[in-house]
Amino acid sequence: MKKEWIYRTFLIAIALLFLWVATDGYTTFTIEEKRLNELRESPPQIPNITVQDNKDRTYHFDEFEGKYMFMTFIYTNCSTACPQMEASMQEVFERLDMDKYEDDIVFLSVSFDTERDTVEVLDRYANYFNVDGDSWRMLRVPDDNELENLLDMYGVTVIPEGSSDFQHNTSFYLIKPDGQLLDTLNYREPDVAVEVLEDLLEVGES
Amino acid sequence: MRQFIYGMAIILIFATPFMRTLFESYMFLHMHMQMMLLFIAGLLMAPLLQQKFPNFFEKFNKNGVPFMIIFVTIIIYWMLPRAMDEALELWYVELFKFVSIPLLAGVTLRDSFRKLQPFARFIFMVITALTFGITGVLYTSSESQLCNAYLLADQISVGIGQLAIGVVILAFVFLITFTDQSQYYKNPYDDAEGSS
Repeated sequence: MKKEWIYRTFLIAIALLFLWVATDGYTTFTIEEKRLNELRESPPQIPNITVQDNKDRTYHFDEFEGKYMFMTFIYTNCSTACPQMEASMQEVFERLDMDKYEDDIVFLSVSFDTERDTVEVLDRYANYFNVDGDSWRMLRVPDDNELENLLDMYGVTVIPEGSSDFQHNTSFYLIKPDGQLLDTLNYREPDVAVEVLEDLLEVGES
Repeated sequence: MRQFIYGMAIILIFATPFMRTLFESYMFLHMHMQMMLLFIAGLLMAPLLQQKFPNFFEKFNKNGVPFMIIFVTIIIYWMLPRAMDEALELWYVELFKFVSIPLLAGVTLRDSFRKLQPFARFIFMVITALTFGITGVLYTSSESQLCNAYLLADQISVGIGQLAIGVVILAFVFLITFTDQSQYYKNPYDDAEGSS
């Protein structure tokens, strides 16, 4: 009888250990949490790919070298998360004192629907959010391979939904002036994002 | 023997690339068809294994409780959103699915079910129903995508399915708890594993 209880306790311990390993110590229950943890642990360096903005200018990512980048991934036909995320981004943008920080940070919205999000479409979309095209730019990546590479690196998964929609994971990406990812922020908390950015930029100023 | 062959056939057919792509394209097909069929394959494979290795089952699963602990662990694991996504991304998690669900959930349940005392059986079935119920509530009420590979609408339909399965298990618990099963069988513990 006693033996039986030792055996059961042993099995339960194994079971708990197994679930502990499977969830990284009961912390990551979804692959999205795992992805964000991995990004935090080994932050990727932004690839120097060619991008085109909503003012039809074409350049490489090193255009923004020396500035913090506040980045989101979107597509303009989106009717759910993207508008919310962009509205939240707009809030952050407007609450930051951009006159003061103009040289230190740039806001970027990168479209992954290159086919439909042409320069004109992006520019129209940019108007909805008062995107000025300088300190906040809407970008498209003309080269499919480069886009794939970029999405892969940040762990953005995009699944087509029906014939005209995509479903994708959403976060704010904050990238350091040297191109390395600093952190991912929850797009539902613009307050937190403003605070984080102000702290960062204050340090940069002084 | 015939049951074992059927079980093996289900696993092999569902392990082919074509069937995997097909059954992993939608969340409900993945969770409620593929995984359920693998589980049933395990149930079918149990008798032959019990015949071939009677000592093993007798020694390690005397009263049914040990294997039920394994069974519950495995089903909890496969209800984690992360496990589903990883099965699609990592080949060894996919392999683990095809091994663990038949052997560690299907075979274990069939071997344990008739050995369990009625009270222990009641407890384990309630735990199983609760696991389905909790994940059902989680999947239907979550506002964000839990599985990166599947759509939010799919997630909600799977959640409703989970709740339905939970309710069915609970109904079965009530049935065997409040009715006299002995009138249907010569020995209630001999052949009570029929439905699960």
